[in-house]
Amino acid sequence: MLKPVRPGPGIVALALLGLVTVLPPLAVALYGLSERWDRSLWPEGATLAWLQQVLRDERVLSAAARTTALTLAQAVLTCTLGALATVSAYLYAPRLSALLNLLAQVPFAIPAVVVATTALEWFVGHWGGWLDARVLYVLLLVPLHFPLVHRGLAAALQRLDAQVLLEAGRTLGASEWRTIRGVLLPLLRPALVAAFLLALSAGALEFAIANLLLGGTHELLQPLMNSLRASSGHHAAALIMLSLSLIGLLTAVVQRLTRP
Amino acid sequence: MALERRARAAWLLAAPLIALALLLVVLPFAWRSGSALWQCSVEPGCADLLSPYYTDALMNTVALSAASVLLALPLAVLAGMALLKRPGLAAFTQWLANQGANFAGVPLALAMTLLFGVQGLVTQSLGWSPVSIQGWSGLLVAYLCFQWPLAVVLLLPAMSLLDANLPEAAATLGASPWRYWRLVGLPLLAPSLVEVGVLLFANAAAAYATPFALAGGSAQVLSVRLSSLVSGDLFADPRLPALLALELFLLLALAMAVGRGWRRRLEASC
Repeated sequence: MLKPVRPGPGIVALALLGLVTVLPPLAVALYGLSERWDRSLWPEGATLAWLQQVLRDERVLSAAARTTALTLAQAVLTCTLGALATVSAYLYAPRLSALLNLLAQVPFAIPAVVVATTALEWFVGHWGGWLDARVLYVLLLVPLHFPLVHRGLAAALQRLDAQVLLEAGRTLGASEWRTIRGVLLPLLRPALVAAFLLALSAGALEFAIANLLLGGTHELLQPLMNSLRASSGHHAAALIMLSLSLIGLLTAVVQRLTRP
Repeated sequence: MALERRARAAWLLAAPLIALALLLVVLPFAWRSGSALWQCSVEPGCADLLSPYYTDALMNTVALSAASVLLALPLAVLAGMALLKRPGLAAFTQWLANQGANFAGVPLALAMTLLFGVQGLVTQSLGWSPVSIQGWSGLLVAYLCFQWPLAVVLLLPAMSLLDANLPEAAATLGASPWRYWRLVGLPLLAPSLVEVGVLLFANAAAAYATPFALAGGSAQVLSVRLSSLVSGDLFADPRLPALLALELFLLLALAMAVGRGWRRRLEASC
């Protein structure tokens, strides 16, 4: 007689991990797609009405436009300044690389909530807000999201053996810039795109600085979701579903680009 | 000569990033902490600022972060072990875990209400709620929802670098899979476990969106206490938020320093 096969602890952990990662977003999605979910165990009446209303709401649209603009600006700036620093340090200045490794640790020791409260006190309180809060928001996110760019690019440069590539270019008589532009940058493109998308999704998910610094004056999507949650959970759920679908897509692209 | 010129150019290219980090993050924080400490040294009563209310928030933050690491790390190792035997599932699980690690803050708070709230799915199914969403148990379950997937995302690359022939060799010598993991796999993985553990601890201790969205300004964790002091209408002694920010920084820096030292010792003994 065959003995029943008992699943091992590993497979149980994997199944529970699936449950923990799928159940919360599924609950939000069901809530955003149903007429009501307060009378019985299961949601009632499938509907796209919440989604349509959210897409027509002025407040949501302006927050979405603002979030897109600020998130794109910080991702472009983080990627450009971060890539210039990481690539040039790796190729020509090892001491600078050590400093950048240290700077990449800063956001873990000085987290966003500390940065936001310090900026509020410092740049808004002491200095009277001469710097536009939106500009300050974008500039604050650059050093905070720098580790996302630095880690990926430094690993890619190491994998490509970038210094050997430059050396080979020099031996063949090519100028330094020509080797960088013609060989190194095309090889680094997947890592650069991945870093940009990571900075983009981190920006879209940022809550602490958006809530504390921009608050209600320049409302972004994450704080808006929070205030919608109190007034209309269905609308909040529909908005969360939309934005997380976009972020899920971004993550899939990053994973594809960084696959070894 | 050319090398020196290139090194100088590299420093120039990195200057804008370094300037932003120093001028917007490091120096204001250092100045704020330094001036609060200086004021405390010349004016009495600074110690009274850190009343039991704030000490509780610190203890809660440490306990919550440590508990989430102690639960997430072994669970991630178990899931990783299962994935090593099923490489076909790895890419999808990594994508799913990435989504889970990102599903924090406001979305997670809404999901917790839908699952564990008064009319939530779990509450209605069981007839009672196993967690109180605004209390410690709710925070721990919520933290686990993003810490566990994050642990999988961070640990999986290190686990997949373990020599695939080792388990087979151990099995040929008669060792059970558990014996292999206990005596070979986990000791080899120990430096990565310490590194990931510290990252998870820092991630939980610095978390603001999740406790704020779940329990509002009343969440008894350091990050929310700090933000409430600055964004509230009643602005208390300005030294207090600076001291709480310094406290959070010291907690995270201490965790990172201990983790680094521990990791180095483990690597040296490998």
